[in-house]
Amino acid sequence: MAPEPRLHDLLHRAAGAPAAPLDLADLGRRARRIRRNRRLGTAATVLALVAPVAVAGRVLTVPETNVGFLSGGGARSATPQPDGAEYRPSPAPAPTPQAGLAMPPSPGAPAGAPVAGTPTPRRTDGRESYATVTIQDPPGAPERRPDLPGDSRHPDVVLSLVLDRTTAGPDDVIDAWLDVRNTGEEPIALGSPRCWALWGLYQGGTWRGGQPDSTCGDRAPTHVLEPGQRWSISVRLDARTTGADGRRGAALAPGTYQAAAGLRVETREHEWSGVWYAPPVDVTVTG
Amino acid sequence: MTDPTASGPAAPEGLAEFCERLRPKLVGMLSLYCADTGVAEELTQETLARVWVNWDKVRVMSAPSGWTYRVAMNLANSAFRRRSAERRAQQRLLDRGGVPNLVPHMDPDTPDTLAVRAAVAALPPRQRAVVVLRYYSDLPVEEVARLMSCAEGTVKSLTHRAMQTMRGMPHLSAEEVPGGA
Repeated sequence: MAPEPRLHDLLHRAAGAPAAPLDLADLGRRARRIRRNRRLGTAATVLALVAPVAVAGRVLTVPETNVGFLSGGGARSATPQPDGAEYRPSPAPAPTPQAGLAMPPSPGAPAGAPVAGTPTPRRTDGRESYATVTIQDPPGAPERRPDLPGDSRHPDVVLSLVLDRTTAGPDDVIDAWLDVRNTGEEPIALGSPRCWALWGLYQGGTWRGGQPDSTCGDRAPTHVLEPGQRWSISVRLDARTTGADGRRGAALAPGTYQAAAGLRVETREHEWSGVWYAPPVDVTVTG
Repeated sequence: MTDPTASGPAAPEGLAEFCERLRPKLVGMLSLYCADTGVAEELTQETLARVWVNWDKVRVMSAPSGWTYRVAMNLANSAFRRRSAERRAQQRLLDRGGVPNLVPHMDPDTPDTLAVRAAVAALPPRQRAVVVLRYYSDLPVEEVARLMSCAEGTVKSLTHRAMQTMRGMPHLSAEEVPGGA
């Protein structure tokens, strides 16, 4: 990078300097506190998962309608939504199952790509069914999860993208839900994809459009997802290009596109953050 | 499992040197980003505590300072959210006729230092982050993009916009503020 000496010097003069020497004892106390909080968090999670079953003395049966996106159209976590995010507690069942919604594990995914789950079997009772695949990096995603060398403390998150249909005309808007589930033992913070503009329609890994005329008005609102919790955010996919100013552009050319959506995930202790995506879903745009 | 911090402040081998080396840079970077040296020192200490907790992994990383910068920026962003809530609380108190808990800030620095500090503080958070990481921490564009989880083009456009904004500010000339990108 070409040096910018004047600004560099000004910034160095304007920057503050430590007023006191490094206090290692204080660092040690803080480190101990962080470890203790982690242990407490893990213990609380185990208790929350085990206690109801142990107390009741029987196996809990979760109604199928409460399994959420895994069974399709069920209840979702009624947790508060971040600013500007729409919340869809229970999408209305479609009259017939959508054939295109079954998502195979990311076609063309690089060998060894982490795929933590398998498609959920379809329901056979005639109700809407969404198949899901647990993530992680889908091919053709606009940004890769920025793995840090040697850092293995990635949060355990499962994302899935559910569309209300997979065929759209030139002026259609597809309603989609990005479901997020914290499968780990520690809370995670989520940044809204609205701010980071992390959804859209792609072709061969190139962003073609799909983002309606919404812009990032403020900084990423954050929602904290406790262990075991699920959260859902709605996004809309516009079958149009998106102009440089974020406005709706021309209609997308007919063809097959990949719908992708992701959000920013961060551990509560701020030791890891990155962008995670749900597996992309093929969408056909008709002429 | 033994906890090295449980029996006192015995730091793991190499940690103290790493912290000593990175601390001034972290305090500088965070003081520009947060516009408050006190907050920067606190955040630096929190960042280094996380380095301590993860030292076994951090010390074998190829770029441990990059990881540390990212933790620091994440902590700073969380602090912004808390401060935003505090400001709303102060405003509510004012609306009810109360007295906010505001401490006057005295700054003995020179005018150009004050101008730069004010200019950086006035930037939107992401532009500010880019300016601090690129022009204070001297990180290359690709490293800044990785730290901010965005594309390199985004870093360049944020830099360009930040430079445009700063050039329009009083006391900062085009000579002092480069073209950006």
